[in-house]
Amino acid sequence: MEFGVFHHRLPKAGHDFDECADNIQIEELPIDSAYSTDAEANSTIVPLLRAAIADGATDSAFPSYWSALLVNAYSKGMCESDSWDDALAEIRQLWQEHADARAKAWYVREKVVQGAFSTLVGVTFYSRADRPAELGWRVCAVGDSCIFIVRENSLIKSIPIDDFVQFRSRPYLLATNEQDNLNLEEKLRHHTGVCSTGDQFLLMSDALACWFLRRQSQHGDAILVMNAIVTAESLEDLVHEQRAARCESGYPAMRNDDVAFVRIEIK
Amino acid sequence: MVYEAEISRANPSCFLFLLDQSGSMQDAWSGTTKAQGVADAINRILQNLIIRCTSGESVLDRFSIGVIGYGARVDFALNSSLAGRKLIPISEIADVPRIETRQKKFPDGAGGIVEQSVTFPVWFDPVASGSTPMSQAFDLAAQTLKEWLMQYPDSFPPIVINLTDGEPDKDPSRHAEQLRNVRSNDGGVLLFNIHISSKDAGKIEFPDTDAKLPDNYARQLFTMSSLLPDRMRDLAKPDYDFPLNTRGFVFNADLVGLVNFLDIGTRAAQR
Repeated sequence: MEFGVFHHRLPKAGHDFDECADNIQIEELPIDSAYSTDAEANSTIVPLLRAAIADGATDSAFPSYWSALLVNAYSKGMCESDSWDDALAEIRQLWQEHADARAKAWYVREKVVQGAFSTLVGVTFYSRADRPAELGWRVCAVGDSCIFIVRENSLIKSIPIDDFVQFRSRPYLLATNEQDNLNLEEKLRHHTGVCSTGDQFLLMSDALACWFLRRQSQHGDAILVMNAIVTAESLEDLVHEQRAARCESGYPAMRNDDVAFVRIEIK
Repeated sequence: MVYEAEISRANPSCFLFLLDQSGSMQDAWSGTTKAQGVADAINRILQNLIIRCTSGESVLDRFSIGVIGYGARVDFALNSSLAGRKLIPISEIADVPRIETRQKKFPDGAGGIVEQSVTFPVWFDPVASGSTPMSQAFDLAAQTLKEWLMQYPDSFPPIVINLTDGEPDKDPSRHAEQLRNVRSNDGGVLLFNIHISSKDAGKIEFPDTDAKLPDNYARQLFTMSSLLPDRMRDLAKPDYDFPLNTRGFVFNADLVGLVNFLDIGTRAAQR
C-alpha cells in the first residue's frame, strides 16, 4: 500500500502566517529504519508513516513553539513509546529554555509562568510481522483537534469528538507545566484499527473539524466538499468562504481560527 | 447579532476605567482604605489584561485603555509619560508601571496556606479628595468613547469599569443610561461597576438580582450595570454558570475574572 498525502495550514483572518499556532508534521519512514515491539499484540511492528497536527492555544506563552515541539515529538514516536513521560519531559525542558531566553519584560515572565498549551492528534500507520498483508493504524489524541476516517465516502470514525456541539471554548490541552496535566492519562485517547485500500484519514484542528461535523450532520456533503480540496489554494478558498458564510443560528459557518488540515489516502 | 465582534489588532476594543477619587475613599476598608482597594483593583485588572494580550515577546494592541479620575476634579488620570492622553494602546500601558513585589497567600495543597512573592505592577496609587461627581465622569466617558468609535465603528463595544464606594453627589442613572447608549455596530457600551463598600455583606459577584445587596447605593449601581452579553456568559463557563439576567456588578470583590470572559484566544480547561 502507498500513501497519498495532502496538508496545509493557514492563520486566522487578519493575522500573519508566522502567527499561526497550528503545526503539522508528517514523517514517512523507510521500512527498515524503525520498528518496535507491540506488547499487546506480541508482535514486531514497523511504523511506516506518522502524521500529527497540534493546535497551540493562542492565549498562552509561545504556543506555536510548543505545538511544533509536540508534532515533532509525535513524528519521532513519542506516543508509541513506553517512555512517553520522558519524551514529554524533554520537550517541556526545550520549551522552557526557549521561553526563559525571551522573558525580559514583566508581562512575558508572567505569561511564561502560566506556560503553553496545545492539542495533539496523531496517526501512525504500521505493518505487523505476524500479519504482513495488513496495514494498521493507531491514533493518539488530546484536546479538540480531530481525526476523521472516511471509507467509501462515509464517515466511519470521529476521534476524539463525534458531534459538533461537543466543541467547547476551553478544551483539555497538553501543557508545558506538568502540574497542569496531572490527569493526562485519563484524558489521552488511544484508538487502533486496520486500513482498507481507499480509506482517507482527515486530520483537522478545531475550527475546521467543527465545521466539518456540522456540515456533515446538517447537509451530508462535508466529505464531498473535502474531496475537492487538492491544493493549498482550494483549502484557503473554502476556509475564507465558510468564515464569511452564516449558519442558521446566525454565527459564522466556520469560526475564525487557525486551520490545519492533513489528508492521508491509502492507495 | 450583538457583542460578537472579534477583538484583534485590526479591530481593537477599549477599556475605560472610572476611578472614584472622592474624599470618602479615605475611609477604612478591609484592613486598608477604599482608595487603596480601588487602586489595587484597577492595577490587577490591567495586569491580567496585559498578560492576556501578550503574544511572544510583545503585547498586542487588542485594546485601548483610558482612565478617568473623579473627585476634586474630573479628568484623565494616567500619569508619567502618558499624562494628558485619553485612550492609549495597551502595549504602551504595559511598559510604564512601577514593579512591586508583594506577598500573596496560596493553598499549599495540604490544607494549609503558604506565602509567596508575586510581581505586582502598579499604575495607580490611592487618591482621595473632594466630592463624587460620578455623572460628570459618565459624561466625559460617553464623549471620549463617541470619538473613539468614529475610528473603530465595528469594534466589540467599549467596556467601562466604574470603581466607586457608590455615594455620588447626585443620581447618575440618566447619565449612565446615556453612556450605555453609545454604540458600536456590535452593540452598546458595557458599563460594569465595582462597589467598594464599608457595609459588611460579604463578597457578591455578578448577581442577577439586587435582593442580597445591602443598601440603596449598591442597588443603584447594580441597576446601572449592563447585563453580561450571551457570549461573555458562555466564555465564563465552566468557572461560572451565569443566569440570563446576570449583571456586570461586584460588591467588595474584584472584576479580574471579567478579563477571562473576553474572546481573545483559546484558553485551556481546568487541570
